[in-house]
Amino acid sequence: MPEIGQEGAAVGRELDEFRLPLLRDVVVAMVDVDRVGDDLMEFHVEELTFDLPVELDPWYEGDVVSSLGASPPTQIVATTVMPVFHRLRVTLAEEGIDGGL
Amino acid sequence: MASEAARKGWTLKSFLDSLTLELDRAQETLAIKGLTRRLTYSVRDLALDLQLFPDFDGEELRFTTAKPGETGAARVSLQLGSITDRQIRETTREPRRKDDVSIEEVEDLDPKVKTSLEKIGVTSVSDLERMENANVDLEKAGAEKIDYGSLAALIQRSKRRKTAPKVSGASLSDDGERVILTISGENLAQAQSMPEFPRALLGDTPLTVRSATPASIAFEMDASALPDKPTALRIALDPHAVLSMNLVP
Repeated sequence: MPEIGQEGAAVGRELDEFRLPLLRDVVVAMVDVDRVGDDLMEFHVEELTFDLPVELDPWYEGDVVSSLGASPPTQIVATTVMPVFHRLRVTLAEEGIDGGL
Repeated sequence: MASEAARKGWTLKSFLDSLTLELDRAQETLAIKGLTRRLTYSVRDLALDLQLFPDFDGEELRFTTAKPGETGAARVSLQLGSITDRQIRETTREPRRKDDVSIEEVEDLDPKVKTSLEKIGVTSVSDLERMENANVDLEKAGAEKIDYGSLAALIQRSKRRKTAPKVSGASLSDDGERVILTISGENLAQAQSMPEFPRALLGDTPLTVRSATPASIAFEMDASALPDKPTALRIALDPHAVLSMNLVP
């Protein structure tokens, strides 16, 4: 968070209390996709890739990271100072199709 | 304003531990969802490109996450393997049983110990018991220093809170030689591994236990020991549960 002046301290505290959702919830929400089409002859989605900017919010316990907060951009309007966007790529594969390991 | 810990940054190990913990938790949630409906898709891989500032103090490499307005951050990329439906079924622990206690629920346990146990995959008391049965040294596996004696006591207390004793009735009978006092209810005697329990005092007189089960406990005494005025009956079911009641003639 950027350094803020004395008059901004109260706002700063509020911002500190704002936490991004946990990364685990973001991943679970991504996987929760239903297959479209029941007929095996139909085209259907075999693989899905999410490639998105994310904001990260490491949660600390002492000086170690205990959990990870993550969220797609909370701000999409361009301003002089923008949040830092990291990048998250998640590839979903249909079960049974050369899934994972 | 950023916290001291955020300013100091994190080690890669600490970050990776928390990242894998997040994905483990996601996997557990997906396993529960998979019980009710088959999952169509699974995560084949997950990658993160992070904007970080590394800092090496001569001993340790630490990273701070780039903050708004900061430029010139290094890019660190991480790629993690897949979570498939099959893997979830094969490798994820079974969803927690009703009578199990999660490590989070164990009160008075040092938060650092809780976090370090979770990071090595011990999230419930049954996990801990499994590790103990397999003779795994948790400290060597990366957990904080653990006082097993006090941990066992804390766990038992938490378990006992979850299965609190309930008394539904008390009765007196006579088997011809001695008087039998029977207390019935739920979750009464649960300390079969502790032969010294249950114990009971009627006033100041210790009672002899005739039988003890979760549904009832029977004590025997001489008829002459029956009180002729309201007398306190205290029953220690185990080190964490004591029942007190008045026996009225």
